Amino acid sequence: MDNHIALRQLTVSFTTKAGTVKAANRIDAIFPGGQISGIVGETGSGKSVLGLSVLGLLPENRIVSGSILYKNRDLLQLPEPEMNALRGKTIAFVPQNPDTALNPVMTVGEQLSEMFTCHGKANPVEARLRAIEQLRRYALSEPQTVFDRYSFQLSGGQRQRLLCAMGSALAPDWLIADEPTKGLDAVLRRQVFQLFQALRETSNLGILLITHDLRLAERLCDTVFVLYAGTVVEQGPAGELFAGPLHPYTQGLINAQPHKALTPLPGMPPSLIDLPAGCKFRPRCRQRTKLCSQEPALRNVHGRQVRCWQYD
Amino acid sequence: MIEVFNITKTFGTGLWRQTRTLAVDNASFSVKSGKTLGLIGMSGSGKSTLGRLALKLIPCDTGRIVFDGRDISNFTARQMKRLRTEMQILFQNPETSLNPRFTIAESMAEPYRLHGQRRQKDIAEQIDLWFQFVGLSTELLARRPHQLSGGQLQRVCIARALSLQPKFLVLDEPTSMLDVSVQAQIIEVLRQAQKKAGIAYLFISHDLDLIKACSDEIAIMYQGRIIEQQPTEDLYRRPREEYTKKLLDAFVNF
Repeated sequence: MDNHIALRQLTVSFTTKAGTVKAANRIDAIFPGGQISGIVGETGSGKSVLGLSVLGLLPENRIVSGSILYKNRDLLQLPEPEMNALRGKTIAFVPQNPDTALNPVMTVGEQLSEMFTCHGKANPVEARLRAIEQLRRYALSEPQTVFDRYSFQLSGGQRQRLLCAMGSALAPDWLIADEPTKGLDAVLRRQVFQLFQALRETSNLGILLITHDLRLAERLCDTVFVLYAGTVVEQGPAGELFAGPLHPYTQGLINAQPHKALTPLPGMPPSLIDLPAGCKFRPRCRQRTKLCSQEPALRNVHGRQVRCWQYD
Repeated sequence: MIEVFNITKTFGTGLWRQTRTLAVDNASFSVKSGKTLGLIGMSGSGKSTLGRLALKLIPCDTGRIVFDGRDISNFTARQMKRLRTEMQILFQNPETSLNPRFTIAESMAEPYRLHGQRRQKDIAEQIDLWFQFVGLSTELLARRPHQLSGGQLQRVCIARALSLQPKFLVLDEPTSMLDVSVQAQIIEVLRQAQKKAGIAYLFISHDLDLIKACSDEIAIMYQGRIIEQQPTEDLYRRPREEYTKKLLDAFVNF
């Protein structure tokens, strides 16, 4: 069965005291099942909002339009009980920041077993066994000991692996991972990379990887979506996109990396309350022309999609 | 500018501090004016502790610190206070580096106040200049830290650290919480500051690519010891230690 998730004209905004924050702007995207799709962009580009909207976990003050189609159902229209049944079991989440994502007053084992008792209808004994098995699979040595530990007794890398173990505990079709390598050192980052690679190879799991770690996205993803100020500015196969970025923003992001030129992009991302007219990247773009005062459409160029007048 | 000889630090933990942890073990390094020494190591290797020891923010057990030709190993807190203007630190997480109840203007004025400048007008003028230097708009001065982005906050911290015109600055993972694009902007500001005032940097990071791009020399830290220190180019071409080779490899083929 086809497991893709399709976003159609997804628009998300939030009403705040300061005004309406437009976090996602008519996003069209298809994330194929069994593959790793990456969403990259700066802080505040709407990456996490995209992940959270698929999970139906956006805060109360949201205004959402468009649709998120999964197996012929629109996740945005799904009543909460059905969404709840889906969440964790079919579409699982690995949240950002393992330091705060785990419950500090529950042992590791209790938290992991909960996955099985809540969704899998397992009894406590069974849940314990399955939890230990899951810990072992995620290379947490001495799973019996780790089971009775609290999250703060684990190292950063162990916590990250624990979150991945929880996310994939019920063999979901989809895993949405939000910044799994943020703040990790080279060795731990490599472990996370290997973990995701193993996940892809051993199961038919689709992964939506939300990250600003461009090297991770390059190495891991099949398809990459570059998000800027809530719009997709470029999308395509990871290898091609990173080897020859088309959009000036993608080029800028890649050149800002330390192993490339370490050249900063000028300026700051725009405020999502007061977005510039026309191309959202225009104020920071070195290649802007008169045309850019109009909003460009997403065009097909060499098997990729780009939102820039240069390629019209 | 700063030389550190055979510095050692153990921390006691647990009941009656009985469990001793050797955090820094007989480490020596030196940084010259206008140069950057990159200090690299994994989480828990003792690099942040070493940075704090060099500034005497925490006392060391044994070892000698020579700053600007003076042996400061036995300086008292009062003697250190005067030196604080000359040695500063930039922390990893800008969101927790500033007092959340101070406005940015209050945070910026604090170092001046503590070090004896009283005239509000002079302070305000200085702050304006530093804000211009780090590329921030003075509109932000009236805000509080939670109303700024991570990149803006780190610029505020840089402006604050530079405001007393230090000669030695410890950069403790200054960009690990920031985006690549903001990281490049912050590095650019730090480079300009170094060019302008000839500041010596101790750049602590676990990002080899970043250290390579920013440092004149690199020191590798492993389990509290500096196992190897070489000019950047040489280290990449001829790593001496097995651990260094493994580290370089982990980064290239992560």
